[in-house]
Amino acid sequence: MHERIVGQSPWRVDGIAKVTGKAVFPQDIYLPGMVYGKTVRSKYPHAKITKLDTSKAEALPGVLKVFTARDVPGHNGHGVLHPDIPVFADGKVTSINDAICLVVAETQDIAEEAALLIDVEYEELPAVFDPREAMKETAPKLRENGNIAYHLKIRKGDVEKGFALADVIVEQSFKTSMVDQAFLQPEAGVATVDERGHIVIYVATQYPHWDRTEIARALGVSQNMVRVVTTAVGGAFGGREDMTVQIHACLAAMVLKRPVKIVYDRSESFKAHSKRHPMYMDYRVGATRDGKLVALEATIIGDAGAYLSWSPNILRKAAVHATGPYYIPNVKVDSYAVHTNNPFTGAMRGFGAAQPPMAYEAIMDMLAEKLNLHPFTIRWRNAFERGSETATGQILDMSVGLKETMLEAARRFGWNVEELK
Amino acid sequence: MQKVDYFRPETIEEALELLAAGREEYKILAGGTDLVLHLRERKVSPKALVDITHISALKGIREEEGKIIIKAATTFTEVASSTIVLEKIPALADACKVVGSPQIRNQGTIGGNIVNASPAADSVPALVLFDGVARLTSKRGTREILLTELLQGVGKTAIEPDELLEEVILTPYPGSVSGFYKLGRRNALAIARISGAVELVFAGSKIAKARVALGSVAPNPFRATELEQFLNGREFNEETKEELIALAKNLVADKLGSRASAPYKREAIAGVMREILNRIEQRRGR
Amino acid sequence: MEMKKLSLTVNGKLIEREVPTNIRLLDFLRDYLHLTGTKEGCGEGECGACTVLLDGKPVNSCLVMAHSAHGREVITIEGIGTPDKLHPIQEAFLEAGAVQCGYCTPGMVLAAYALLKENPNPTREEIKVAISGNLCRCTGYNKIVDAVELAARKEGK
Repeated sequence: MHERIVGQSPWRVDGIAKVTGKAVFPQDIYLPGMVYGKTVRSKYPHAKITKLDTSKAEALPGVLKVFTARDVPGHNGHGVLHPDIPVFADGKVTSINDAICLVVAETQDIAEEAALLIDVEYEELPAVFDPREAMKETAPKLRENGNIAYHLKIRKGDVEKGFALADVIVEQSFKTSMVDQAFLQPEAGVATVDERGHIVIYVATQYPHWDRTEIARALGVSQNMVRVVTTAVGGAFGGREDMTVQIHACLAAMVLKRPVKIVYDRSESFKAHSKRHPMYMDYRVGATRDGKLVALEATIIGDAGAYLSWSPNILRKAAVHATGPYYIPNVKVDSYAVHTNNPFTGAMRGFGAAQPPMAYEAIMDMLAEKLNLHPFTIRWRNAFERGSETATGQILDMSVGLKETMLEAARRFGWNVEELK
Repeated sequence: MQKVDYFRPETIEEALELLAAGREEYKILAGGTDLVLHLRERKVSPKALVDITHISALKGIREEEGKIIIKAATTFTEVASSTIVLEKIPALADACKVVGSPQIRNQGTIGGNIVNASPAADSVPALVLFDGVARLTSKRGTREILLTELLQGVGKTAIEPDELLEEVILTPYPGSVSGFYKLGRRNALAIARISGAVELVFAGSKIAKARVALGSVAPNPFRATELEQFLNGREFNEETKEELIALAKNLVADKLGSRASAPYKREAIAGVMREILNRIEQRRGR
Repeated sequence: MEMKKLSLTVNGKLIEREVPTNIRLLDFLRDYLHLTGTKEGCGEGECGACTVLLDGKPVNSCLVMAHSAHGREVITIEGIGTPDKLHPIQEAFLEAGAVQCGYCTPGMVLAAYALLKENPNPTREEIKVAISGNLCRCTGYNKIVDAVELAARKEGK
């Protein structure tokens, strides 16, 4: 075999199916005897459920069953790091993400009609929506041991000594917004029980093996009883790492012994999956007259929302990237993930590395302005290169392409690079 | 989707029979780019839909004694590509070209856009500009009403439940040049943040007659008579344009009062007006 | 449930069915004909994943009532080409690397198809307008525009 691959542009393996409309996404699956599930979600970000009456919905012709927290045989929760997202809310809701129950009916229309008949009464509880507020002693507590889910400290050198060497210091606060991955294919799944009695779900997921573990744990069955089949995935960008339809569909299929399909519409999709963390970033950075960075101090507070998801990993990554691709001898970073009653946040393109650049790059420009240096110059004089030591003590002993990239970019801008170095 | 019955009349008479029978419980489907969504969201719950898009007598554009008559079920794509519209009332072509997306323009209709009575309806400022009159028909008879009187606030019109909007009649000034511009958050699939339409008749270097309409500034698009009066008789030059823009800013500020969008829109109107005047200038040269 | 007879042409085939009055064209194509190449992305005419051609023109099938298509001609992605016999536009999408997750692809191909029927030699700007009702969240727009240009060249040959 001498087939040449490198340097070729072969068609992607699933390409023909995708351009002809034959690729199978979970909503494209129709099985004989299939029934439909519709989720009822919380109306409040923080409340006690004082009444949950499903009788009117269950009385509607065509409705097979309404599943609630009582029907979860195993652990009523799931989550990539810590299973704190309830399969169904049990007496309390902590965000508008929370599923109250799942209506299963012969048709999608009946399921939707029945969902409107679910009678839920709430007693609203004080809620907190700003992670800085949530850090205070007086804030409503979402967890017994407080709202701070994670705190990472990075310490390198001595920032006070560093700032003493600085000719200029810039101090600035930044805030980023909550962002939805908005993958184009809304969540959907079809669960069925196969001829061996195993529960099979066809779902667009980023994490089939972990889904299986969590589905089995929630259903109270052993893992070999659950099979997760990944269909074509219509975009994910991190938003399909935490589960949505999986446990609901599997539970209903297991109990009803019918194939169960759940398809979210766009608005439910927004409610069901994680978001990108909004971050508050307070920075203080000092540089000498010739543009050398001498000290950086940063506090990064990420809004984890109601559930943990990947928050510790994401705030860790934000902290590690807090200095950008710049060598700074004295660094002090404190990074926090804090629970609020907002929709929970998790993975999205960059995984915590996307937010800090907005802060540190703006600061580089502000320093350049104060020092009367070209924005290229201040970056060039601090840029990581082979052998640099990062704020966490990592020695970059392999390829570091930053300076080469900067040179090429500067050339294309038509800048006189030699003058700017 | 909620339950809803569906009728597909093929003549105006059949449609009027249905509307007379169904009254408030029936809703006219004239493309459905908003209505189908509202049905799914249960914002409306009619017993039945009366689909008028299969009535051939409700489609088409014609010119009659200086008036341009557009049938209600004519799509935005059809309006935007009509030679009559492009030549006589280009402001309306500008407006129909920027509705939603190609898909929406192929499905949505002028009639639907009017009856929806949205503050941000893309075609309506251009229809109001040309003194648009709606012709309403029911089993009881026919009446004509100015669009500015037909529109009675956000989502509200003076149309009776048994009435059908048959056509809209536009009266451009003979020999006029017009233009429309919409500012949205994106180039496509955007709801107008602010829009405007201007029609001018030139006499040498002077403006002989002027009409101005604005959208997304008040509950419904409206004629800005203050601006029209200012323009009448002026030289069409930079000074006039800048003064017009200043007046437009004041008007927008007045109309929006303390609304959150006011500081943005009173600045944005300047760019919208400049773009419209540029279009008019280009067209005038032709 | 109110049912009415619906008679229309789908991908060149005359189809007659008794179907409920409350379903959308999208539901009819997917749930009744199992032509699942037509996708639902937003259900409100923003994303274009459900694009089909109705009498040759692209529309959002999520905003068209099924019965509104009575007596009319519908073309879906399944009517453009098959895995054994790809349409030049489909080939161009594969060659240009214009396919990622694939969920927007059927709608994009149909929007391109309608454009090239009317305008066999579009400019890049015209292509962008033609696909302005179709969202790609993998943000592969440049390659999609490349693909439509490539398709125009292929078909022009």
